[in-house]
Amino acid sequence: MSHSSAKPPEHSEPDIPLTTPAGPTNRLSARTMRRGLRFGLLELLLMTAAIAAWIPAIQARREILQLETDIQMMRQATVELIVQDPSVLNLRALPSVWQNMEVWKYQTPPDGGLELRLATEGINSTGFPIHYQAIPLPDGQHTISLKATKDQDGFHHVVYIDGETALQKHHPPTWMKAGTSFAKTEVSSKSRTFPLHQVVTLRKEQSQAKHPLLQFAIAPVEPQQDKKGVMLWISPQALPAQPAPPFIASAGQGVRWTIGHRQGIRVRSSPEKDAVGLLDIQPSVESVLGERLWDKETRFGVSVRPVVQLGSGAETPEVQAGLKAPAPAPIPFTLKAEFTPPPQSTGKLSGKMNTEQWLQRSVSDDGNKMRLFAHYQPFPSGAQPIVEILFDANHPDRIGFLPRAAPGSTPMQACELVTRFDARFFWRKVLLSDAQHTQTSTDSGNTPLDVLLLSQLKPAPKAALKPLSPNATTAELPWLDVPFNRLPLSHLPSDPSGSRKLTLRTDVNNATKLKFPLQVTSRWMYQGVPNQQVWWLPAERDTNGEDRHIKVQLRPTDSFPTTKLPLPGGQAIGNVRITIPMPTTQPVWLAIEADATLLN
Amino acid sequence: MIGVAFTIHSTSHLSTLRQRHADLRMNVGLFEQADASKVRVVRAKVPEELLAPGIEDSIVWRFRISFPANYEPCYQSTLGLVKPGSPGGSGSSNTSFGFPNPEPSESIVSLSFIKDKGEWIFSKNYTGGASTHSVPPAFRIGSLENLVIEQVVDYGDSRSFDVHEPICLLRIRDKTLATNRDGTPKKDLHNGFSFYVFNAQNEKAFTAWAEGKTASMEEQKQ
Repeated sequence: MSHSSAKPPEHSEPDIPLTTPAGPTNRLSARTMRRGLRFGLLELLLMTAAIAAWIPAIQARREILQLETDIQMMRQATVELIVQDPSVLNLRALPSVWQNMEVWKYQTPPDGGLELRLATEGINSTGFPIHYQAIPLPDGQHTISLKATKDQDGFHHVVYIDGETALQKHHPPTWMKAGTSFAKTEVSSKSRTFPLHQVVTLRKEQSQAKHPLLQFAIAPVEPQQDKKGVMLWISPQALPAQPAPPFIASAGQGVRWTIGHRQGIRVRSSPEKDAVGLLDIQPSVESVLGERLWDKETRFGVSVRPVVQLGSGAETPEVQAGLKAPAPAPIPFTLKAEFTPPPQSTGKLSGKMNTEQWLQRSVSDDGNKMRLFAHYQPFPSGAQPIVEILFDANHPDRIGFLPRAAPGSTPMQACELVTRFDARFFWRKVLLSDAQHTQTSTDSGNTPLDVLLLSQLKPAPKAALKPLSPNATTAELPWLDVPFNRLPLSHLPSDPSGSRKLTLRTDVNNATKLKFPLQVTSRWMYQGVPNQQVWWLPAERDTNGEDRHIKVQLRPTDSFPTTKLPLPGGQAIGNVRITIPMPTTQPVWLAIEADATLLN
Repeated sequence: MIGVAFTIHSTSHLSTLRQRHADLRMNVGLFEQADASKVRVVRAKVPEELLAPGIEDSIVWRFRISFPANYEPCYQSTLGLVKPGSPGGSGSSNTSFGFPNPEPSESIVSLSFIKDKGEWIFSKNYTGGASTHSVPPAFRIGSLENLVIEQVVDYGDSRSFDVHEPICLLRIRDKTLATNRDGTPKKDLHNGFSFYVFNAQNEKAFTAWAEGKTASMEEQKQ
């Protein structure tokens, strides 16, 4: 609309000098404006029509804005997949209507090269299961459903793509005594994009089995251990699943740091102040039913004691309890990756190192073996042992010890490995070969084994009874000899000369029903576990003489460790002493194994 | 002319949006513009994708609930003998708690009667939790036409509640009273199911109400 068509007025106002002050100038402007706003009926009609034409559009615009806002909000509540980038994987989880079913919607570009993988075992926090089923993921937009049910026929995991069965895995009812489970996902209910080279976990559910002894408890497990459950993930087809490594330095700093088998036995330096120099052995969590949870205490330890002169006794690295005189300084050790660390490095292993660092230095090239070295400081005699600690991926329950002498060490005639364990571990029986089959019997199960009680073992010769310290106040029972040649022979492919196997068993099959003694704190409550202590000792004798074979001795105890409270049920094994002639080239192996016959 | 063109275009676009808006409102619901301090509930349809093969015959109610800040939702389901106008009864009851959110939040609650291999089970799923319960045989959920169904809101509608009000999302019950072994009717009890949402701060009052102390709370009339 314009005012330019308005006719000029016929009678002009008299001119007013522009040189006058501000007042006259304003009057001129007002007149000019009035002249400009004059328009006729036609202009008025046109202007009205124009406004009328725009009003519906303006009103519609207002409503459109409100509707679009509402629609945007409501779209978020639909099961629609909002594709942000059609060139990558677009994915979202849909809200579930049944806890046994999970649903996802995805879209991939043509030739996305992805596949869907399903596993129900070997699920852990550090890698992917190596055994799984897979199917190529169809391109375009599709729906994935995972249905997990259990009935009288067993456990059923079925994966559907657009309602058609794509993958399925079934297990019998005996597959698992599931107690509870926890699940994770990388996918949320909001539409997201993922690069095509990325692995995306739709669901990782790790089941926790019922505790084998307790009625309302679950068996303790660690996240990095393999568990049953269900795992469904999307992966590039060409990308092999990355399994978890067999060895691990467990998470956590300080005393919580351990190194060893991911699913088995581990080692660390004892965190207890009076146990400096003690190798803290942490058995697999299954074999001790959760004892590893006691992070600040040493439940099971091995003391390394050099013997410079046979018959003169061994030197002890830890502080001796019950001494009247001031105790000698403890002999600490440092865990290192090498026998001879690089000159520019201390070689010390610690929780501050990342996994890749120690893995690179400690694990063999094939990834199946790992070795560490416990470097002791010199003992008063000048002996300085370095214990090579071995792990074999094929035996996650075992830990090996090979004592050696550090360069410059006083020569050692023997090295003792003496166990120390607390009230959770009470073994009372020793498995020996039948006296008639001492040379031929094996632990294969075909040959009958004698079960000996402590009372049936003979005391060790007097020479071995020399007290560790003349100031010792606690009454210690004498060591008992275990006849080495009556330990059953165990032949392994990697060990042609064979090993003698020492097995110590408990006589308590359901320790959870035992609560004693009543007058002590829970630290000393007997909540022992039905497992067995096993040693594999090189059977080959040293060529220098008959006396230079490994000696096995047990010391009974009739009271709770470090207390004078009597042990109900009579004497139990308080310590095991393995005396290894030095030098030696064959390691001894130790295991704490779940006692399946007692658990079932 | 330009204005007319804009009007024609806007009207056409508006028509499309209105249709889309109406469809979405019926499918997922739209919370009414009310006081943000209120609890708002809408009903949402169950997309086919959520029902995998084998459970297509399932009966599912889905609700979207908008909670104000710091509301601590508590979900209680009862299966068995239920009362017609209040919680409680003598059935199997299960209570679970959500987490209070310092910001206003939304939860999708699915109440599903799943028929899997011929057996009915009840599954409740809400944002942050889920549980499954068996359905007693006396409650014939498979015959909906013989049951009284009271739902807090139907498709396309929205309702608001004060934070202290208990909300009965769904009650399904027999039309007739349950009977004793001798055939006499049980007082005020029907075979059925009920599902309530309330603020955990009012748990004591809700429990007292469920136990028959009707003065402690009241259910909002529909």
